[in-house]
Amino acid sequence: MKILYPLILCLLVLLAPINVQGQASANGGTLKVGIITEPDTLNPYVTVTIQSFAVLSLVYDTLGKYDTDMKVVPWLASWDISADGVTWTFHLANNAMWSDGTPLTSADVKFTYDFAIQNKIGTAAYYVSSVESVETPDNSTVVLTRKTPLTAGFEQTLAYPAFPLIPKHIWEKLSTDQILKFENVPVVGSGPFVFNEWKRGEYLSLKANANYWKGRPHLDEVVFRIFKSFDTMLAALKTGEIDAIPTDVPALTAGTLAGDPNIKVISSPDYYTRIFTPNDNINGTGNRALLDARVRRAFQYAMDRDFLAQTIHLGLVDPAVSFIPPAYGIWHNPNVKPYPFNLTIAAQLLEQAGYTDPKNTGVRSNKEGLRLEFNYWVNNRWPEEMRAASQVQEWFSQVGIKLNVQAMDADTITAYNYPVWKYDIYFWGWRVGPDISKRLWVLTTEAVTSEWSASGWSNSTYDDLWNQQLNTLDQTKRQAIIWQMQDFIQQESPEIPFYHMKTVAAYRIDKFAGYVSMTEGILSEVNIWSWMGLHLVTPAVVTETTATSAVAAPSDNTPWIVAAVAIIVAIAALGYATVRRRKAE
Amino acid sequence: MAGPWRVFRDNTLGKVGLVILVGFAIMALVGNFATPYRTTGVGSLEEILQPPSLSHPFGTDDVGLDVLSQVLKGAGLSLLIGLFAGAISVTIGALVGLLSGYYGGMRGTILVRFTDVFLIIPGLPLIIIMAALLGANIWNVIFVIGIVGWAGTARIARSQTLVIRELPYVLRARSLGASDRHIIVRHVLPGVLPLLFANAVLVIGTAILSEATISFLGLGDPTQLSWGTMLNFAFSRGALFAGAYWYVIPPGVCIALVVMGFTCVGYALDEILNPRLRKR
Amino acid sequence: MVLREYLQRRVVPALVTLFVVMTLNFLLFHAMPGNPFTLLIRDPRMPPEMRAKLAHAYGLDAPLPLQFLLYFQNAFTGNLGISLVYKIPVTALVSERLINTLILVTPATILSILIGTAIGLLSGWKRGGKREVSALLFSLVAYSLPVFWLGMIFIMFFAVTMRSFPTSGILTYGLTYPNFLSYLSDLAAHLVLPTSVLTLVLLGQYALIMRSSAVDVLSQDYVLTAKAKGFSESRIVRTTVLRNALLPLITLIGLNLGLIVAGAIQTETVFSYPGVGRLVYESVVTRDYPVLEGAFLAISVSVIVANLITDLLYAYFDPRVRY
Repeated sequence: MKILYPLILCLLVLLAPINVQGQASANGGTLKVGIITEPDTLNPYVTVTIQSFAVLSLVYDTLGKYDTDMKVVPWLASWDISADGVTWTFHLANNAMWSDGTPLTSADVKFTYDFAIQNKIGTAAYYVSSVESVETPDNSTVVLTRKTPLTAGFEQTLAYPAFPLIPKHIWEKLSTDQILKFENVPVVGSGPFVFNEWKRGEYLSLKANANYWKGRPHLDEVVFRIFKSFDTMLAALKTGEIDAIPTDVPALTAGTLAGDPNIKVISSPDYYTRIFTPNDNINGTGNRALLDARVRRAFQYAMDRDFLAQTIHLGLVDPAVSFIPPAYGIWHNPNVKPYPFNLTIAAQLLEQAGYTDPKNTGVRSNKEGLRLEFNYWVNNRWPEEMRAASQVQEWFSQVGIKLNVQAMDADTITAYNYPVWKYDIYFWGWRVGPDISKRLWVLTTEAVTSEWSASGWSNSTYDDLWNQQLNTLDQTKRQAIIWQMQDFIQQESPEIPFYHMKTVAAYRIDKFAGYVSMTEGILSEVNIWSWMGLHLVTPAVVTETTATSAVAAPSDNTPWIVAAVAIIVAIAALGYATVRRRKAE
Repeated sequence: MAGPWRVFRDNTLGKVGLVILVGFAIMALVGNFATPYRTTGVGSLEEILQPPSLSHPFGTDDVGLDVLSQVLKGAGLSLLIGLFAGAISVTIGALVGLLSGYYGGMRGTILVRFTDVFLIIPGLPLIIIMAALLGANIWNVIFVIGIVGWAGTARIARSQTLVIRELPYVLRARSLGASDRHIIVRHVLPGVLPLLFANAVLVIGTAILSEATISFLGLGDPTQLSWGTMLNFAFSRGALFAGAYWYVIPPGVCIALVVMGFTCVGYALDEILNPRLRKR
Repeated sequence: MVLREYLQRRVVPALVTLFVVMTLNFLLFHAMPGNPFTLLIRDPRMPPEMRAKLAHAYGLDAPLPLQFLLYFQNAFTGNLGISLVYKIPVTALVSERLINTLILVTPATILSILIGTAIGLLSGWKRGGKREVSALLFSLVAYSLPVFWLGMIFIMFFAVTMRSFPTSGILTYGLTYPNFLSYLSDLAAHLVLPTSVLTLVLLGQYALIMRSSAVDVLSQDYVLTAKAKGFSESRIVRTTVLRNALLPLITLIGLNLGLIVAGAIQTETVFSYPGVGRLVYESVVTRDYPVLEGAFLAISVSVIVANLITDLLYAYFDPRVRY
């Protein structure tokens, strides 16, 4: 008799109503974006991740924005520049408001600049280093005076998502100490989207700003869903659970996705470069052989980066010649002389540098006994680069260099970098953003003492060139200097760029349209055009879960699930009943 | 010794296990020195993730290298790590178990409690943590697996020691004034050894499984080739998503077969050497 | 012996184990080489004064013995620190994930014990028969399969090729449920694959345990006596064997709880299931040491508690224990 109860339960489960109709919504829809790394914090003065900048670019405004050619165009303000370039007058949009209802005025702009100048915090300090003063003649006008001598590239700073306009009434209460700890959640910003909710490890959602001064975006909501592995994220894209993966689609899977007619894969130029970085610091404790440019040039000849770009990344990256990616437009020097893959020349260079192997041990050494044996650390988050490292190891062994490849986590690599410079070679990724000066600055001596240098390399010639380009306002002349710098770096090879990565994105074309392709991809910290322009492909009645308040839709899983549950319950019940019966005997 | 071997021969389980193990030992030996294709570096673009064919019976992997060759080459390391880690576990376990069984009183109790604690502490999380803290290389992996998995052996060693300790000839030896060391080495150890041997075989199997697991989780040494690191690359480079079953199935099947082999032999040995389990 | 006495004898060692686990935990994370300052504070641009301040806030500049005491004090008041990645208290994060793990592990364990015991019994009973061999073979195979690999195979087949079940997570994101049954339905859909994987591997283990136990019992004298008395095999098995094999079975299950943990960690990782097992893996990858510490502690405590429960069960079934 006791079996009856479980059986009845099974029946009930089988009969339970599961088919529910999906609800439709008339407005813009919810765009679900899949990401792996979530923002670390939404405090623009503390964050270092691109993901944070992407979110910040939606909830905050900047004075200008980048257009698809990466030139700065007016956004929250339009501006006039005085003839001598010193005085910039900004005219703010009229009806801009903060998300808590307070109107945005010139006082907020002035505050943003003063705040950064005063507190010298984060990357913002760098951006305002050339600002003398900011005045506000009236509520919608800002007059900014620059320091002389003037530096090039100031206009670029007007569109940086890392330096957004912050509300005075929120941030003025913070002391310098408190700024670092300030969570900034919920974010009070003036951007096209408003912060809604952030459940760490799961999702971050933004809602459309209905009162946006430029007119609300079409989308109702944007949800960044956080995944722990690519496989699950890609599967979610395939089933339509998410609508887009904006970046980091692995090479091999891009191929697999391309077969789906509803999915489009696109790769866009980016500022991100992966670099083979020797320890060039003269005070460091790495293998001293690395301080010799001839040895480093030998490295260049001994690594076939074209081949690796093809096989490891399936051609979805640009093999690097100059360390400046093509994404930098006119600043990228396409005429830098490449090092062809030639093991013979590499061996010759090593001989010339004094490293020989008369006893044929397989590893060269010089007269002082210094061996060409290096520890090579590869970031353990990049399985594809681990594969590449194995090939590099083989090439090197053919020219008498012993490379000990080790997988290392990023934090440990960073710890051995600045200030101890206690490593031989590591493989790293660099992304500095659209500011060419900043990207070039990373190789200066100043960078070495401020923890931004990757290799600890210091060279006064390069430093001089950098200062020159910073102060050259004439674009053609500046370009010439910058091109010269790239030739110089190619000659000295303090760091050997492997590839300029591209942003590989995959998105569904059956639900939303309006993606705009530009540097960094379809949905990035600079691609405001996509975010503003995206809209549902089929409006009105939707049978799937694209509506804001989605309800459990009929899925073809249901019969399976019901069966599974019924079986489990039945087995458990039978088990229970049998055990009871046995006990009774 | 003729007696036990004959019993072994009648034991199908043992025979099957032995055949499997010998097979893999040969594979490991051969694979270490000669494989049909290279197993390091990077292959060619056209050969990436190719399904099985005549020239590549197990297809190719994410960089175009032959999967079969890697399975052959990886056998050696997978087995070696298991063997070394297992050896460490059994040695520690035997030591602790023997001593805790032989010595009563304070010493014995402390050792027993110590064993119980390590019996209960879940192994894999501890292995994961230590592997992560120590860093990715083979010796760390061996060490970590070895020092976590000894408690089972200790328990067996202890219970057997307790029995032997009370046997007449041992008691006689003690009354004759033999030193503890002498008794342990000359009397207890030989009595415990057969069971330890059976247990060691099982422990090696578990160690191989542990190595595969932490290599898969990315805590092993990705610059070395083992079945576990193969599966790590298969997972992390998206072979699953691409449906490259030929890359995923062979290493896993090998792991399962090898562990099965060790388990069969271990159980068979246990049956033979444990007098209570022999078929009536 | 009296139940109370028996329990006392089990609870005290459990507490000792707990103490050892916590000490181990502490040693691993606070006394290991490698600069905790650098590992803790990630931003390279942070000025040294800031770093020192944060280090002081985390108590990293106190001498080691003091840190040890602080650690115990904190642990017992439920303060396990703050996650470096999630920025929420570790206790909250770990308890949430622990519940998810229990949802996954409990049905799997129960199912695998039931099925495994049945198979083990079968393979231990008729020695040399076809049933024994196939049951034994099945148990061995199930035991030898790497859990993560089985998960990968399941994902490839069921989720990618056949598209029948979701490949990850615990619930479909973004859905609101009109009634409890549809919530259960979604939950169940996500649980089917990971639970099956975990069950399959665990049942191999339990089948083998049960087999040893059954074989052991069947070779005992009282079984021969029963046979001589003319009782049917199946009757003997169902009454004597089962009852007598039950006790060692319970003990062995208790001793092998670590396997459930290992299985859970692998299953959760492969299926991206948000449980405490995957939390261990995640926090290793992201170097979130406070969480790793907390998760390890939570898992160990769970195992200790589960062990005590099996001890209780043992006491319940052991005729020698009186109440």
